[in-house]
Amino acid sequence: MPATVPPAVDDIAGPPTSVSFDAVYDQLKKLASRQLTHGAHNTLDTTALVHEVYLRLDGGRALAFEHPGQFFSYAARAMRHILVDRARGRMRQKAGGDWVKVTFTANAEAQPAIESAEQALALEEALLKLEQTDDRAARVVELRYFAGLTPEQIADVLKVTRRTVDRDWRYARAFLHAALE
Amino acid sequence: MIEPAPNQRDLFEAALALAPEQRAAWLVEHCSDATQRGAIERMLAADAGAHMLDHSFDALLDDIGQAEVVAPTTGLRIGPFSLLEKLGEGGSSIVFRAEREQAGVKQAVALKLLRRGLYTADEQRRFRDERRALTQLRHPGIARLIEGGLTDTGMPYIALELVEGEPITAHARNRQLDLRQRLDLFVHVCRAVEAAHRALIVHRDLKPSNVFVTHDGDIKLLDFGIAKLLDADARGDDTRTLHVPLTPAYAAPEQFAGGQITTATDVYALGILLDEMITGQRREHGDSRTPSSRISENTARGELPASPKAVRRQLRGDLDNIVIKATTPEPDRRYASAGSFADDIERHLAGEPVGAHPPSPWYRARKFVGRHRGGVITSALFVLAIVAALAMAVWQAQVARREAHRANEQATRAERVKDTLVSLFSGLDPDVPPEKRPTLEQIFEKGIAELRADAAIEPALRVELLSIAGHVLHRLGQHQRGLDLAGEAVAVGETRLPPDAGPYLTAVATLSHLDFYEGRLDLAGARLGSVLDHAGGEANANSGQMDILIELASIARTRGDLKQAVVHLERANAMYDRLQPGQFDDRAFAIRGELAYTYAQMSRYEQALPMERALVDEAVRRYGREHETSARFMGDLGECLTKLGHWSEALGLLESSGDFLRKTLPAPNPSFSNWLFGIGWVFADQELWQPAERVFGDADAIMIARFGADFPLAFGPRAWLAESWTQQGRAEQARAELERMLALQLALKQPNARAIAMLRLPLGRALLKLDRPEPARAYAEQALATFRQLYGEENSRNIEPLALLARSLAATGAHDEAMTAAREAEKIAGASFARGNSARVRTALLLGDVQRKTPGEAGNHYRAAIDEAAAAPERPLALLIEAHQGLVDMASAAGNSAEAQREQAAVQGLRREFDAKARDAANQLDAWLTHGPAYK
Repeated sequence: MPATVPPAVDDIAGPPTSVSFDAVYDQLKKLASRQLTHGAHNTLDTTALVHEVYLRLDGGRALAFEHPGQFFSYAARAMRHILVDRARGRMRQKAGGDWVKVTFTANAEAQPAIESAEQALALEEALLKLEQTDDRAARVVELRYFAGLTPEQIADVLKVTRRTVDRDWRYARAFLHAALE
Repeated sequence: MIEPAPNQRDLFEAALALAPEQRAAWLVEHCSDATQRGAIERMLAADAGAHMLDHSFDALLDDIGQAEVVAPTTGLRIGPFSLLEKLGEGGSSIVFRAEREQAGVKQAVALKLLRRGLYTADEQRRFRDERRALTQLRHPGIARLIEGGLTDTGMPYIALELVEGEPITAHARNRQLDLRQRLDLFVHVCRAVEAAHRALIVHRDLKPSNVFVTHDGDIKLLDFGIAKLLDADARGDDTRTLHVPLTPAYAAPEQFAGGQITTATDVYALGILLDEMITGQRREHGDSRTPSSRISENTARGELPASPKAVRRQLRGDLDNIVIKATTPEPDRRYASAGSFADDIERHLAGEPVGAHPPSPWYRARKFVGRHRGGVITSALFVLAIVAALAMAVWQAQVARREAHRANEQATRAERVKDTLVSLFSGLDPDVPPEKRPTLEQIFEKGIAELRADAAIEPALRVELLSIAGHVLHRLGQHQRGLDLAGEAVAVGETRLPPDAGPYLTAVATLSHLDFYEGRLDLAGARLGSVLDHAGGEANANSGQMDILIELASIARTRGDLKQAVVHLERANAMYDRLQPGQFDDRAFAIRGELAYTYAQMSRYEQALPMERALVDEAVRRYGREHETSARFMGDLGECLTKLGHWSEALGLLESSGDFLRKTLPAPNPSFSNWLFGIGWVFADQELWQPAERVFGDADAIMIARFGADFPLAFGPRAWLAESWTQQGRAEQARAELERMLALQLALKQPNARAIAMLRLPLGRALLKLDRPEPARAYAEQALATFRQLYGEENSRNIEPLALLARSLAATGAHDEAMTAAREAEKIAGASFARGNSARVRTALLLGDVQRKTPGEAGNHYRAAIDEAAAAPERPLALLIEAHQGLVDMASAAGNSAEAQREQAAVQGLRREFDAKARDAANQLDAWLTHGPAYK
């Protein structure tokens, strides 16, 4: 167990045994620190943000995982939400309806950010469609794209063969790309 | 045949397997739908190309960037306020000093602008509701919420009392407060929090920056309840997302775990705050060391209330324990309120013993071993158990309410308990008016939904809880829903539990019980039988097997197979005694109540009596005398006592249960009929036919009022009423009515053999009195055959038809046959009852009556009857009169006038005694029935 895992996780979820847990955790942590550098949330520290990310996992309920695979699923779901949330924020700013003025912190140019946001929202929409026709393929996308798991790890989480994961991914990738065109 | 349209994915994958140049032609051939073909072609193209999914997700996130809100500049108007200067900025809000002008007066406020918009109508409504509750929170130690609102674009703002001061930790440091001063100050914080808790508002985010000390040294708590105000989803939406970043160092474990936020959550944060104030450092999340052991030599001067060494000494013991208690991970082990937290600190300051103790080793071990999971299960079980018990109480109250105005008090109490539980379960919602609180059924459904959603609940417990839920819902009148849940419990048990598992068997018993109530006896019986076959027998006896046996017994009893019912119940009772010796829980009530009742129905009163007594004792101990259950068992015990000759005791019990019934039930009610029936038996057994006629008459009137005069299932009291006519010289009236009832009973599609026999006996006795021994003999034989079949050859029920048979035969001159029947009756009575029992006295009299032609023999039997009567619990005066009268007759027949006179004197003495007793009984009964609440 690396010392970086915050006690809250250790306390509640029980000690995660898989090495991949650390990978996902690191990714969450990376995300959090990026949010810190980009944002002006000067009252929050990195730990707080990592906690926030954890708390977004279904309001913290999901921390009592039945098996490690569940954690990845939730983590991927959380990442997906974060992307959508952020994209929506960007789009709101574009609409200019809010009383707050918005500036950009990540990119000097506003336009690429808005395009990326539009892309993210289109991806979300396509993923919702894919979920309706092929839920498992959608989960493969979540685990691979949002949680950064390898095909082997995905096969392990979903309890299917590596070959099935590859097929699902290829189909999902083509489906989403076609939908995004 | 039409081929099903090929699946898009199958087509895609099949085409992909081909060489790229072959794909178009293949698709035209295999996919006739042009739209679908287009989609697949696009997918095939996409497969070949580059794709955003090939890049990292992080990159896309980076590209979007953070849409950063920047505070509007000074002068901007938000609602009625104009912004003056930025005071601070947090993760979810920006705070401005702002002011508004009202009637020429300028009011300065702290205006909090939330970053997060509230876009849906629901979110906005919740914001307004919450705000309304907070506006009403007034306490000198709490910064007031002045106003709040939404801008035109849905962005929320809150105007708070402007507080000039500094955070409590900075104050303590800057003023160099000593430990006592710090504790004094902290007590004031607790008192303010306590006031908010009394208004049912939880802070949720207590931390130094929210606990201010003004320049005058007064405590002001900021942002009370704001965390919930911001957390628009906190009211239990499905998608619970916490939009409010917590301050992890002060957040209680339940806030991370998505548990219930209660006042104990604030107690935790207060504990961490106290820790920080007395150690000079914020405790790291998860650090469970005592405050004294964390005092470091390196702590900057001014942070600590004294020197490190001195502080360590001051904290060790009481203060360590107080902080540990306040910050226990389990909410229910913390201080019950901010007030009791403050009390403990004041006790410490006064040098009194504090309430906090170091945690026991057992507690620490338990905490270490799977704390979380166990907690979830225990609480789920606890909640369901309480709700189940409560559902019963409310159900009973509802029934009572329908039937009696006097039950109002009980119903009110149940409502009050319900309200308390509702507030417990739904968290602290100050603004939910009572009429909008969830109904019991809603709470119950919520419990069931949580049970279904909680994957951590193991199958055995799940099965158990589902059965309870099914049973309770059925009792609440939702029959199909109850059956569904019980069915689900059985299905889960079948797949997830071994066939001999107690919870599974109990679930099957529950389902069968409900089926039984729905009239599906065959289905229920078959299911129970087959499950019991695989339950592992005596070697694997468990509560589930007992439950199965109880249900099998009630089915057998309903079918009239009392012998089989007794077999099941005796087996269950033996199991219970072996597994739970000396105990008397609900299951024991069920088993023994049924068993005693079945014994009594089989006239096995000697066996029933001790059991009935134990049941009454236990019921009275549990529920008091004035309770439905106690009254029911008292009635059963009364019947037993009557049949065993303890008439006074029986009457006392019946009086007691009658008082309760008359207080609770409105008249007329069939329950009173049963009660009157019981009283009638006490009199009938003593041959006190006048008072017996009165109560049987009342009982019959109640049944007629409810069911009409021709309803065969309600004939019980009238058969006995007719008997009292016969015994008082109105045999012809009795014969007519009994024949009418018998005809109606026989005309039923499914005539009840036992009921028919119970009519044939008094009819036979009436006919015998009318000197028609032949039809009397026929009825006696028919009744005897029925009883033999129902209860067995040696059952005491057979005494009555045997006696009638013997007397009818004797009347026709068939002396030998009469003697055979009488001797059989004597044999059964001797085997069934203890010495002195009226049945034994009666069979002795019978033997005498049948042998009147041989006075010597008859006299011996009459004397035997008198001997027997001497051993009776109460003197059977009427039987003694008969016996002595018999001796008078036999002495006269033998020409022994001296003895005849002696016996005649005895008869006269007994008659006076009996007449006096009959008068007393009639008067007592009259006083009893005339006064008090109506029963008919």
